[in-house]
Formats: sequence, C-alpha cells, structure tokens
Amino acid sequence: MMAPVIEARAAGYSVRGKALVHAASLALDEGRITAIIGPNGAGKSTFLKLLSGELVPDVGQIRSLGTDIGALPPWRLACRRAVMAQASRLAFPFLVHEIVRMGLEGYGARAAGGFGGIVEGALARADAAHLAGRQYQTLSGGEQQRVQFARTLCQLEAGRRIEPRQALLLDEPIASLDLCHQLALMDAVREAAHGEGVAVLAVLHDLNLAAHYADYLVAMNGGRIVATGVPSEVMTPGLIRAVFRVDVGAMPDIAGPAILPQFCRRIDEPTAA
Amino acid sequence: MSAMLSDLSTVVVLASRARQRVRLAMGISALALGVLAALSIANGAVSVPLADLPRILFGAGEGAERYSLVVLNIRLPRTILVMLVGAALALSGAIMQGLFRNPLADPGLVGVSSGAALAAGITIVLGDLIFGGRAGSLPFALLPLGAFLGGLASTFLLYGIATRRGRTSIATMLLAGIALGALSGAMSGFLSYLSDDRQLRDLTFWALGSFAGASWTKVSAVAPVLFALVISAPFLARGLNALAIGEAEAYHLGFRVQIIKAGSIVLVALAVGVSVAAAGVIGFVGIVVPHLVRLMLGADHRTLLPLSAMGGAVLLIAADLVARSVVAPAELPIGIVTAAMGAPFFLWLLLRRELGIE
Repeated sequence: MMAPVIEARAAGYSVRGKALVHAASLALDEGRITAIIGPNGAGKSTFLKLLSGELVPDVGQIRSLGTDIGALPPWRLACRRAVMAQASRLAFPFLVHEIVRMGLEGYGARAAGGFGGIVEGALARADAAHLAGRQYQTLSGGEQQRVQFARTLCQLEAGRRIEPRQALLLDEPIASLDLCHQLALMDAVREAAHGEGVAVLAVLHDLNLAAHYADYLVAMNGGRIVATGVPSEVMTPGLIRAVFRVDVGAMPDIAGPAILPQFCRRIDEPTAA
Repeated sequence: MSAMLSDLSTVVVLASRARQRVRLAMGISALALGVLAALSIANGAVSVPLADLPRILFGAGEGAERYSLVVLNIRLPRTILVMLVGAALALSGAIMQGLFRNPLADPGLVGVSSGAALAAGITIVLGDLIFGGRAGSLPFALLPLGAFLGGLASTFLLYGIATRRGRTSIATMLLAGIALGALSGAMSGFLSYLSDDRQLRDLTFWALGSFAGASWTKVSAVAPVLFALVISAPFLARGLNALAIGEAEAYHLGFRVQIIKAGSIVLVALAVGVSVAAAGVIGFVGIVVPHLVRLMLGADHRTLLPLSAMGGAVLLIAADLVARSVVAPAELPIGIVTAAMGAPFFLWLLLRRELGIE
C-alpha cells in the first residue's frame, strides 16, 4: 500500500484555546473526488488549510507520500498539490494569462522550458480562454473564479513532470459561478480526478452537486468529521437534519419553482459570452 | 481543435506584444536618460559645450582640461548619484507596493524616509557629541548605516501596525505613516535645538533633500546597494507577482513567503537608508514612477522593477535639472521639486480610486 498523496493523521488546530478542527484523519486517494460538506463554521476551510500546509496542526500530522508536509520545501509541495482558495482580491492590474502563468512560477526555474501550451490548455479547460487578454480586476466574481481554477490546473500540469502523484484542493470552487459554469467546472474537476488520477478534495456547499460529483463524502460539524463514505451512505435525511438542522426528503413546500439540474445534459455549446 | 489553436496563438501574441512594448519603453528610457545625463553634466555655473563632452569623458584632448575638473569632480559624480538614487527610490517604491499589496505605499509617504532621516540626524548630532565635535570628521559610512537602521525600524513598525493576517489596510498604513512621519519630524525638530550651526545646516539638508554635496564617496556608498537591489530583483519580482494574489496563494505556488517579505523589507530599508544618507529625503519618486510603469506596461514585477529603476533615474535627473535652474545660480532642495510634481499626482491617484476608475 503506497502512502497517500496527502493525508491527515489525527490533525487538530485551535486558535486561542478554541479548537477549530478536532483530531481529524483523512486520506486523499488518487483518482477520486472527496467532497467536504458541513454548515458554516464546521471547520471545513481550516481543515483544507491544514491539508494544504498553509496552517500547521497543533496536534497530529499532515503527511504527503509518507513525509511530514512541513519538511517539504514549498516548491516541491507546489509540484505535488495545487490549491484554490476562496475568492481573493488582486492589488495590481495583472492580465488573466499572467495570473494563470503564475502556476508555473514557484518552480519555474527548476523545470524551465517546455511549458508551451500549458497556460492555453488550462485556460481552455476552465472555459476562460476568451478572457486571456483581459485585466483580472475587471472580471466578474465567477470569471475570476474560473481564472483561479485555470491557474491551479496550470500548476498541476507543470508539476506533473516532477511529481506524478498529485492532489488538488478546492475551497468552495463554485461559490460564485452560474449553474452552467458550476457543472462545467465540476466536470473539469472530475476529468482531472478520473482522467489524470489527481486526488481531489473540494469543500462544497451545494449538497446536490456534492452528492453527484463526489466519489467520497466527508461531513464535518463543530470541527469534527462526523461521517465519511460514499454519498449514498453519508447523505441521509438523518445526517442532514443532525448536521444542517434542515428537514429534507420531501419536495419543499414553497410557492416558487424548484430547479433540479439535469446533470447528464449539460449543453456543451460555447456560451453566448 | 481549431479553437485550441486560436487560444494558443492569443496567449503567445499577447506575450510577444507585451515584450515588444517593454523593449520600446526600455529604449525610450535609455535614450531619455542619456540626453538628460548629458544636459545635467553640461549645465551649471560653468557651462560646458555639449560637443566637448565625449572628449572630456573619454580621454582629454585639446582644450578639454578647462572643463575636465568641473566635469569629472563635480558634475559627473552628481549626475551619477542622482541617477542611482532615483533608481533606488523608484525600485524601493515598487518593491514596497508589492510587499504591502498596495499601490499607494511609498517610502517617503509612509514615514520610512523620515525615520531614516531622523536616524541620520541622530547620527549627526550624537555622533559629533560622541566623537568630540570634530566638525566634518564623522566617517561617511556611519550615516548610511544609521539611516539604514532608521529605515529598517520604521518599515518593520509600519508593517507590524498596518498588516493583519496578510492584509494591509490602506487607511491604517497611510495614517500610521503620517503618525510615524510626525513623530520623526518632532524628534528631528528637537535635535535641531541640540545642534550647532553646521549640524543645523546638515539637518535641514536631510529634511528637504539635495544633491549639492554629491561626491564620488557618496556614489561609492550608494552603488553597491543599488547593485544588490538589481541583482535580487528578478528573484524578488517573481515572488512579488505571486504575493499580489495573496500570501497563502504565494505559498501554495511554491514560494518561501517569509524570505520574500524579509528580503523586501531589508532591501527597501537599505535603498531608502543610503538614499537618505546621500541626498536626504526625496519623496514621491517611489510612487509616481512605478504607477506610470504599471499604467503603461502592466503589473508584472519582472517588467515593473527594471523599468521603475530606469524611470526613477530619468525623473530624478530631470527634477535635479529643474532644481538647479529655477533659481540659478542658487539651487532649490530637490525634495521641493519632487513634492511639487508628485503631490498633485498622488491626489489624482486618490481621486481615481475614489471614483472607482481603478
């Protein structure tokens, strides 16, 4: 059994005595989408930051291919995992293709040359090719999110030459996307997992999308992992009621229309934009 | 497939167009720098014919001796010092803006320069007290060191006050800068009561900035620091680019964020320190130049840093020409000239942000 690309071993993290994550253990398997669901303040983002190496656990360990993540030089880690954080603002007027190219920068000097086409490919896979020459600051929130996604794809593609076993960590990657682009982005994520064998971890708020796309589901509440397994096992009305305090199971009794996306029928034609 | 190809060419075309613009800007700045440098060497109390310049600079010929003393001992070191300080100030402005993730950061504006000037003032006054008041005997090396430490202390203080969780609050930064500047000013003012006539003259000189005392010694003190800045710029530029997305993101991309931040702070403090030691406080170069470069050539620090250095040299040498000619044969402190040019520009920047153009 090979050591996982990234794994948490009873990792805990607290701020001023308050534990945000309690002894959480999770292994990210390659070729699989793992989704974390849970209410606000459940510790999802903190757990993702522990797994990415951004935060150092107070107790327990985060390991990557058998090594403690803190012992790896940042560039090496960058070859092994890419991270898409929640929306960040940019201070300067960078162009979109410059942002995506930054996926190559951390270790650019070490694996110089031969990066032709990677930026373009990543932009295309994130459905952002037409934005390449635009100023990032002038884009809408959803467009910015797609560009950041393209940056992570670019980083993975380039890092693969050095580290063939990789992980992709996404913190609410579809939060500001329209329905069509939510599906498009999750399809691209699925392609990275199933097609290229990347171990994907995504924090998702849309339970339907989580159930549809995740191969493995992790439910968190109050800083603890409360359930893990395949979606059909985890996402039960009982768990939803316990974790989110919402009754589900029946069609909601609301006046307006309810939309159920037809996952298999995403129309692949280019959008009007 | 055809869609892929056209996407591919878009990015390649964008990149090559950007490179062309950068080359053009480099050429224009180099040309402007050459012309202004020649004017700077030729102009002054003794006016040197431009046509004689090459002969004077590159081997004396007939009739060159008449000017060579003025040119080689006064004008040339001054011109070179102005260019070096201009480049150092604009570079440190660009680096500081990248570090603070904020286009309005400037060493002069946020109190780093006045901190350096205060430390220089302390060195002048207390140095004389310690070394027994031997006027002018203070080794020049002490001043840059003092100014550097002052700049370093103010930068750390400012960064500590204005930055929380990797975010720099612009309001806090500017206000803290005002407070730091006022504090340094008050202490500098207090120093003036402790000082004698010569020290007082020196203190005024630090506060307003001047190149009147330019010498080869000062050139040799500034040059190595600028050299260090230029050497580390390419490494720093990539890090600052990543930092623009965010500190966490820069780490995710594979950068050692703490090293980049510490390196930036030390380099800015060094550059501002030696600049202040050599020529006093000269404001606004660090904010005007990087901003214009960003406006014309984009935000990529790999372009921004070298072109800011060139632009800073061009701007300051032009300002020095103005300072020398407005009230000739006397000369204005150059800090007055850069403030007169830079302050309206800064207000214009604030207005643009206020109106949401940026």
